[in-house]
Amino acid sequence: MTTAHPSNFGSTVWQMTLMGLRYLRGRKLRTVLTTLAIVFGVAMIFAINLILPSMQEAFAQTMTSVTGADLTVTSVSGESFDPEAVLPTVSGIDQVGAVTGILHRQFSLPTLGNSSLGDTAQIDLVGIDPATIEDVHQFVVSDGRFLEPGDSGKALLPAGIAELAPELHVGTTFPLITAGGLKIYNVVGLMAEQGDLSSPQIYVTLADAQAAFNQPGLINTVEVSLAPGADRDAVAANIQQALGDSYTLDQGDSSSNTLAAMQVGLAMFDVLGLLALFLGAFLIFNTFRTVVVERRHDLGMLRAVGATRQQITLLIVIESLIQGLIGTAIGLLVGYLMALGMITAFGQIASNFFHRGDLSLQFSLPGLLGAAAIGLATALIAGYLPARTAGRTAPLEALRPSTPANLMHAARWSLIGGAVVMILGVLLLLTGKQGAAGGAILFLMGMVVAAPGLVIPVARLISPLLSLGFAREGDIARGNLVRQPGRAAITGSTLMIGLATLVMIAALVLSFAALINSLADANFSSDLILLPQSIAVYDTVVGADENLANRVRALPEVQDVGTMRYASSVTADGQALQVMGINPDDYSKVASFTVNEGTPEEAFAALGSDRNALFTAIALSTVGLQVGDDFVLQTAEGPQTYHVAGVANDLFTFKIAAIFISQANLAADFHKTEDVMLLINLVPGADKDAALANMQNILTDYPQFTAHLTGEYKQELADVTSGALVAFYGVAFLILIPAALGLLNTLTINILERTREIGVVRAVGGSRKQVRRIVTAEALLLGLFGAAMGVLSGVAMSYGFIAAFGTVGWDMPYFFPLAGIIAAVVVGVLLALFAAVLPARNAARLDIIRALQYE
Amino acid sequence: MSVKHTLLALLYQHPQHGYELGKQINAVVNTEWDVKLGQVASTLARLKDAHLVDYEVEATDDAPDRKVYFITDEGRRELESWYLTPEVREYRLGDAFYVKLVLSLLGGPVSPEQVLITQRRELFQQLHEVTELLREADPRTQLPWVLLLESATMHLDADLRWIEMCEARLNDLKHYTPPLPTPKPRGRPRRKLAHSSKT
Amino acid sequence: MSIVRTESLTKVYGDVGQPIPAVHDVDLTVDEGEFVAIMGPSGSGKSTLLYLLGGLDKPTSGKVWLRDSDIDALDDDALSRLRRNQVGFVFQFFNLIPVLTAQENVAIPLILDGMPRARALKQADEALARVGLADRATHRPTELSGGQQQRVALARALVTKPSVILADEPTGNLDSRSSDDVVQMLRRAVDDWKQTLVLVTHDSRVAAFADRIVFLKDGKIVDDNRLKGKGNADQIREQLSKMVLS
Ligand SMILES: Nc1ncnc2c1ncn2[C@@H]1O[C@H](COP(=O)(O)OP(=O)(O)OP(=O)(O)O)[C@@H](O)[C@H]1O
Ligand SMILES: [Mg+2]
Repeated sequence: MTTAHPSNFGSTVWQMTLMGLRYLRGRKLRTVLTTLAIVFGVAMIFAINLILPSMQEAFAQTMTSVTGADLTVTSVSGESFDPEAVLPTVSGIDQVGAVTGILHRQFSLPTLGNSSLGDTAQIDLVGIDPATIEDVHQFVVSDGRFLEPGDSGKALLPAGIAELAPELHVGTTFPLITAGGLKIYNVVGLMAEQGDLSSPQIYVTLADAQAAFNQPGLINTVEVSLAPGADRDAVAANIQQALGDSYTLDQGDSSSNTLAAMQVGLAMFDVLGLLALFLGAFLIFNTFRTVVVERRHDLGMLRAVGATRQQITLLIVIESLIQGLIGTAIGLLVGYLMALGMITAFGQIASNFFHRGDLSLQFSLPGLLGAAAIGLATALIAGYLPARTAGRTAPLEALRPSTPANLMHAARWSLIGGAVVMILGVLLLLTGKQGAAGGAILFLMGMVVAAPGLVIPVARLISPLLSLGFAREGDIARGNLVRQPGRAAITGSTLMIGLATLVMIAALVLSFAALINSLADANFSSDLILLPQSIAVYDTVVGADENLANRVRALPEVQDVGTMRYASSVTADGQALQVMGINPDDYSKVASFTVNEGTPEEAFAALGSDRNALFTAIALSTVGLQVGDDFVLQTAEGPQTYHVAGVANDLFTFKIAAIFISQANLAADFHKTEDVMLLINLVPGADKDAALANMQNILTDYPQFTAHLTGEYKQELADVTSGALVAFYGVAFLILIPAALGLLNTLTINILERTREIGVVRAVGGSRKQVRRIVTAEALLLGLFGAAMGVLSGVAMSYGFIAAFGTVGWDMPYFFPLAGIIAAVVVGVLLALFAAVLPARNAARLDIIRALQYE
Repeated sequence: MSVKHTLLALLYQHPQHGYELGKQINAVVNTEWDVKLGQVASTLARLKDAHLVDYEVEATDDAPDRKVYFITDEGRRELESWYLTPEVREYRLGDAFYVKLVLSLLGGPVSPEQVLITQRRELFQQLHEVTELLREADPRTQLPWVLLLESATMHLDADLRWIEMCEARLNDLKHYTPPLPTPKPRGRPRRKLAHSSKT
Repeated sequence: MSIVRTESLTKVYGDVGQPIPAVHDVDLTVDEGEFVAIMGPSGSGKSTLLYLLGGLDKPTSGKVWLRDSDIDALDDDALSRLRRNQVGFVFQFFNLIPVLTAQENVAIPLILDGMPRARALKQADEALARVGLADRATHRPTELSGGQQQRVALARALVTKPSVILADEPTGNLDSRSSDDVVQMLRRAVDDWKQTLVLVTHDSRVAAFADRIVFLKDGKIVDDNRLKGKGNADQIREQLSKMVLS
């Protein structure tokens, strides 16, 4: 009799780890396949986490444009304000040293090549008051002189600019786009600091900056230095109290909207990674369920010689953890490589879009640990259930031949349970927009639950089809599949999720394209359009003052000109909104809205009076308002109450939270009078090409704008849209990778399990070809099973999600995704055939003698 | 058991005197088989007449001359054909236990089950004893003895298995009704041919 | 002193409609150092009885005591520990874990019990040496013959010095010669190492090694046959000669 050694738990764990490793090594192919799923999921998540911080960093860098001051004050809305409202108040506060006002904006330079700032893609134009700035900020001038009060057209550059534009020296000049047209600046000095070359700061006098942005007399930042020994927090609190809620300290995130949009985009990839891991979990679960059945002799023997249930559970959990660890480690590596690849590809887009090219990967420990933890947790959770089953193995299992469990019974219950869930899902789908997405998900879940029960009837249904090609093998294949309905169900479900996503995306793309088309038709009723550098991120756009519009209006060919202006703002409870300013009279002549209620004319009319705003549907749902409500908007003039006059969408704003107000209100409340877009109608019968030529002539003074014929632009837009939508298909196919792995895995396991049987088939005269055909038929059956389920739930999901988009205001037409369905079936069948190639070949090549001896 | 072939096999090893042959039989075959010297002498004489063996006279000083026998070519051939002739196993169905068991089936003071159990106990006791001897025997020095003991275990095992079979058959035998003796024709029964077996 | 004792031990398989009494009302006592063989026709409940004795299965009614503990009163964990420490099993098939070496297979009950691995492996080596397989310690089961595998299993049963070793047809799969090796080893476990052994077998020659043969039929004990020492060699020699001569 031995005594217990409870203290030495490690010995047991170590032995189990050894066992786990050897078991895994004994089944290499299966181990690899199962591990791949984890690799894939972890790689996705890790790659995103590598990229996201560097993206954020890039933005953060762009935003920390003015530094050095102890405190900075900006308007909550991010817009400019009158210095008189702030400077005297702040400088009167105790322990405040010096105060200075600044107007700065970061903007992209048009990619024209004639900017004279060399390779600079983006600059931060900072207007400073030379009289007071140096009390707050230290500048070291290495060459030339500092700015002086009264300077005009003089600029101070960072020394690093030489790298981008070697020909710039003290005394040379360069042109810069401004709201008033191109303006020539004289370099009077270079600063010692190198500067942030991704967005060099160019210092000019406050007056010059105000002219450049068409914001005379305004500033957007107040820099504060503290008296020596001052209590920073106390002073900040006092300033905040003195200025009220309309101002914020130490914050300058006017680009947060863009960042948020970007994060949403990347989060989608995160979801994809999670989905991949979810499928990976399915695979592991599936594999270990097989493992437990396969190893019941070993497990029973361990129980017989005294292993407790927990010890057996631990053994399996350790084994799945080993796979999790290996998969996670490889996944991290693959993720890193993926991120590298993505960043190179993305860098191109980024440099076009944000005029930044130098994205780099950023290791973050939490990101690494997070991805690793998720990978391990997946393995752990997916392994735990089978491990528990394993723990319940009776010791007698070791001594009996296999015990075919009563699966039919379980299958029936899953069918009933799944059907109930699916019916609930359908009801929810039909009841309305709100629950539609939930209904779709519920339907999908019901499908997963019902899958084990569906295997047998669906296999029976499909097999006549199969017997066309596989007269004899079809029945055997069906028998093989039906024997393990649980495994077939999981595999089918994996495939289903992939194919359902495909169907859904196909439907979404159809509807989305239709939506864009209808919006574009309504929007682009004008003949010509003048667009700024970027129509996605107005923050970084330098618009034009009224001169441009006036000059255009003066052209003989031009009949009407409508302009769009822009400001950013937040609601009282902090929701960011983009504020678009239009002149209802002019704008209605050149463009239209798609409105949810009433007519566009009524919508325009509403803007003409009071503080009325038209909301995009998304804005309305983000802010949580109803038509007719009043709400408070943070403006440069402090909080102002606006009224929700209606809902209107146009092509430029339909996917963002934006509101439309009149340009009069925009000027009064936000001090913004720059036009960021011009829509132009020509005199009937006018020569479009001549008009375009004239327009381009004017635009030599405003290189930030480009002129487009609306028809051409619409076409361009359609091309870009379909290009972007293709990317969605890419996403769908990415999800199909784990589904394919699942298929491959199941087929491989099925064959390993039936090694002896295959040996017998071969021994009694089955040809290699027949064995191969049996496996292929089985794969086809699985593929069709998954496709059938995928199509059903895909239709449900597409219907549900398109309906759900309705709740955020996108009333998309629903198109039955016939093409998607056909694609899903074809893809399902192809995947099955593809996944069958290797297992079928292995099965056919089995050595008969070895197979017969296989236990 | 053939004394004739035993002698031939021993002479095949090397020529020997009749007396030595008699002693060696026991040593080699390792049984209680006691062969009389006279039987050895008479068998040798018959072998000589059949030209299977021959002898030379060996002169000694103090004793009468001895005949040293050796095997002839004809003798070798005879020995070879003996080795190559399989021995026919005799079925011991006339065994006393068989009769006891069959009689018990007819009904009596003791059930057939009990008869079987009793016999099985005895057989197992014997098997146990033989097994114990076998465990003690050293196959390197006592090979013939080991072979003999193993043969015994196998025979006992066969008997035990037969008993096992009988036991399993008992359920069927419950429904067994022994055939009624059929009325015999009058007169003297005709004589049956008796089996005669040679070894 | 009794090591194993049962009282009205009964195991009924199947459902209420068609009960199969595999073991029926069995009272059996096995003393310390005893070597008991259990025989009986196929389906007579031998294995079932053995599993009940070793706590692998729960009786329908009746009791089993192993040393003084009533194993019906133990929960699953306690039962596992009892199997680990007090019982050694040798079965006909699937005795060894294929991914473990002979040495590790033998050590597994000790390791499961939390003994430091190095020490467990050392004890396993000793046990392997006892069954004559010292030179096969690092071999995997697939690299061993059937007889060797059974000896490894026996070493595993011995390594914990259990109260009782339960063997279910350990020689069922072996030829006469290997079977002989294994049963010799079992006998030695009883004689030299003072183990108690209950062995199920179909082979009379294996059973003849035992001190006692219990016959089962339809789940009941029909005969309990104690065998007396060894016979008189001369007497047996004489009897055998008759066999040869007849
Ligand atoms: N798990 C089970 N479920 C139902 N009946 C069982 C089960 N295990 C055993 N039995 C039945 O119990 C009876 C005894 O079985 P057991 O395995 O103990 O016989 P055995 O004497 O070991 O036979 P064998 O010599 O063939 O191994 C048999 O009738 C058998 O069919
Ligand atoms: Mg049995």
